Amino acid sequence: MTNKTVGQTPIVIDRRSHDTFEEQLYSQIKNLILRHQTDSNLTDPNFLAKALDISHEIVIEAFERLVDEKYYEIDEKGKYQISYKELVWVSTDSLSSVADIIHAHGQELYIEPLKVETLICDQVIHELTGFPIGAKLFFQDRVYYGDNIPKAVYRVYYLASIFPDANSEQNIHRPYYHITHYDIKVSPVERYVMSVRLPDEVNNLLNQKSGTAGFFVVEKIFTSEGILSTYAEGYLNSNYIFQYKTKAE
Amino acid sequence: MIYFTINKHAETPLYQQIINQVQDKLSDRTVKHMDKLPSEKQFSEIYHVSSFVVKRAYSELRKLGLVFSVKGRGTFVSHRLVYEVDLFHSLDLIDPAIRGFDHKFLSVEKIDFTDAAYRMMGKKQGENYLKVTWVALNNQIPIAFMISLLPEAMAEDITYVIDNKKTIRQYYLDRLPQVTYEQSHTLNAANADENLAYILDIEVNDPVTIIQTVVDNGTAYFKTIYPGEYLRIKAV
Repeated sequence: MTNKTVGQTPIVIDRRSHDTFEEQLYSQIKNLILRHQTDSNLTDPNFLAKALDISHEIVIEAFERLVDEKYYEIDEKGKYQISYKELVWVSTDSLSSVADIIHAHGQELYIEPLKVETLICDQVIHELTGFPIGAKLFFQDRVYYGDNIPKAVYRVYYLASIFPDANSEQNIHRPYYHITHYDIKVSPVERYVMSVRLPDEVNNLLNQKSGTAGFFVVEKIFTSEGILSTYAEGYLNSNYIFQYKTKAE
Repeated sequence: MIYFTINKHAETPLYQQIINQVQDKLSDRTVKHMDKLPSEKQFSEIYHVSSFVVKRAYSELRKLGLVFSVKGRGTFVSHRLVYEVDLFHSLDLIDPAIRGFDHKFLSVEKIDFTDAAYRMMGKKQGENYLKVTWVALNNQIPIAFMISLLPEAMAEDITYVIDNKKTIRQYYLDRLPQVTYEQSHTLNAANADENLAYILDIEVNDPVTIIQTVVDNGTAYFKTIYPGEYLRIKAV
């Protein structure tokens, strides 16, 4: 038999490949972590060595490489644990966007527009977004990628009278913060976050298992005069963690 | 599916008939928490009611806190409140019991130094900590599950706390010197395992929101877990 698979974990060691077993194992584990398709067997060197029919040393070699790159850590008992998270720092003075987080991880950002439309705000869109009925809007449905790995899915509505170029060929690939040029110190923003079971179509776009939970974020950006200019709602992949500090009350 | 009786000849507007019937069914318990309401399309096909009427009824019911919508899944009956908090008002988020909800203690134990939270606090083996778990309730429905780690030396009155229904967090802060402490928080989404699903009265794999707080470089630790669809966090 040429290929070995591991139970429920889709790791495949191709014994005919030019890549070493260590390289194959390292790459596949890393991809599974980035796609949040992990299970406890991924950090068990004995299990992987036995199931993949490779030496324990090779597994440890791959694990140590993952530790160096901060995908794994070693706990107090000497056991390997997955430590990779996409951290979002939140404060009252600034907002981190998905694009910011991708850049902070040293990854290459790419935004793929799935749908680009010009709409007139009707009752349904009004109840969802708060834009006035009859307003001309630009709409984008988009996926954010970091190093070709999908990170988030967003739907963005812009008020056309304020952002007439929002749906230009250049802007449909840009983060919406860059298009709106808003400054949290000047422009009021409303933002809320909830944990939800991501819809199947979103999990498919994010390469996650059906039923995976993640953050659902809604943002409303207003002009300094209080006019709603942008409405965005997004689903973040399940690696995201928000971090912030407060004073004890 | 929940069934309705729509009378197009009645004086009561159609949207109000829908609202009234949902309220009645909740009162007499013919529907239960998380029962699914018909979609607009189903309403239209079965009862020949326009989607505008259904939208209005569901919108009003949402404002009353009697139903909630989950994107991609539908609209559901809710016996629970959607708990709204401000991310930067940590007290409400970490300690929902501060809002006057009931709380019920589940367990008190000395913790194993390998516990993930113990590691997170940077504590080593040999330092004695107590792990206290409890749940906040609103009308007997769980709002949040909480885990607190406190220095054992500080928690010798724990039975007093439990008997007198003080919140653990307030008990801890009351016993600290009067200085300002910084807290570090993390917030993540996860799927509920069997244990959490049982405690929070939700389904396995339902989404949960987890807030972890470390006070003053690891003198105490609080972990609060909410049913994700019932916690809305303002993050500005």
